[in-house]
Amino acid sequence: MRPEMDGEDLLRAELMAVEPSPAFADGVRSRIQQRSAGSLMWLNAAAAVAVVAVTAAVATARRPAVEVEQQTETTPVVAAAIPDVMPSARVRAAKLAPVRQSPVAVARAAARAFEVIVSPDQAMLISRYLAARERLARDVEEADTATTLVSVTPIEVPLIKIELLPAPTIPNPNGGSNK
Amino acid sequence: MNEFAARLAGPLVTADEALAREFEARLADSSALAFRVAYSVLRHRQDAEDVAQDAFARAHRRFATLRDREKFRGWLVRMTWRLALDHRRGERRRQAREEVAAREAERVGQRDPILASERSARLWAAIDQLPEKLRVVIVLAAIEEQGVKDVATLLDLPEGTVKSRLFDARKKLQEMLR
Repeated sequence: MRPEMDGEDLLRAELMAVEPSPAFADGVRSRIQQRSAGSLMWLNAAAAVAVVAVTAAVATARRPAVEVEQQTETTPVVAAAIPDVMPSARVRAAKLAPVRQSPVAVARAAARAFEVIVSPDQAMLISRYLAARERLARDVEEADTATTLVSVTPIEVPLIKIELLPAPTIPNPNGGSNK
Repeated sequence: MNEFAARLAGPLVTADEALAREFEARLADSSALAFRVAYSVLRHRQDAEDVAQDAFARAHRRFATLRDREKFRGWLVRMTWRLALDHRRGERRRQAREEVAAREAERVGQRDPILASERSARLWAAIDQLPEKLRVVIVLAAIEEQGVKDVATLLDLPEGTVKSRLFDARKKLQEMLR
């Protein structure tokens, strides 16, 4: 290091010795163009997302709302008392306030195991009804299997001869005849 | 209709063109300043150019509010300094890649002549040891031989603050280089 130059002079000499390249200004211009294109692209993307969101919102608003029964508490005993003989005959036991849910939520609920929740007295009625229906179905089945064609033989009924008797004569206490 | 449109569009185009001309003037006026500020931090020509160009591109977005020459130069210097520091902090992540590039440059004999000298290495080592507040002051004072007032304007600091920092920086630098 040259002793006659102090640190600041040296620093000045170092810094003044470097110059930007001749292509510096062109590089700045191209960066500005890139930034403009980038911001345009982002604007377009944001506009597209906004359009999709608005379309989805409108489509959701126009779709009829699906009513889903709200579940209530019940005892496990009552729930177990319902025979599971007719899975298709799920009973809407309790008429409760409808809740609006999105179709996705409804689909999820449908995918889950279905549980019928009713009040105890209604459960008893339903179980009786289903038991009676089962009995009836069984009887009908038995009757169908037991039915055979029986040969019918005519029954002879002997003729009955009825003889008409003369009317009895009753004496008239006032005299004269009473016919 | 066409006349009305032309009358309406005329001033707009003129305003845009005037803004573009002003920016071009600032670019020509301050590119060396921004480049040297970045170089004082990075000591790498290509990185310094990248950072200075990035600072100009950012300045372009806000140029309508930075049309005043001194405001623009100050904003540009501060932005370039911050970007250069950020760039240097990120250097470690790119260290492996840069080592490969340096080996390649050394192999083809294009090594930066300034960094190659021992004198420069000692100087920059001393500059790096200065606190950041002192470093930026002495670097800006060294670039284009700017006075205390100019440096205060660029850094948006009181002149007294700049003067005392410059004094401290010179003293520490001399001690380190002794």
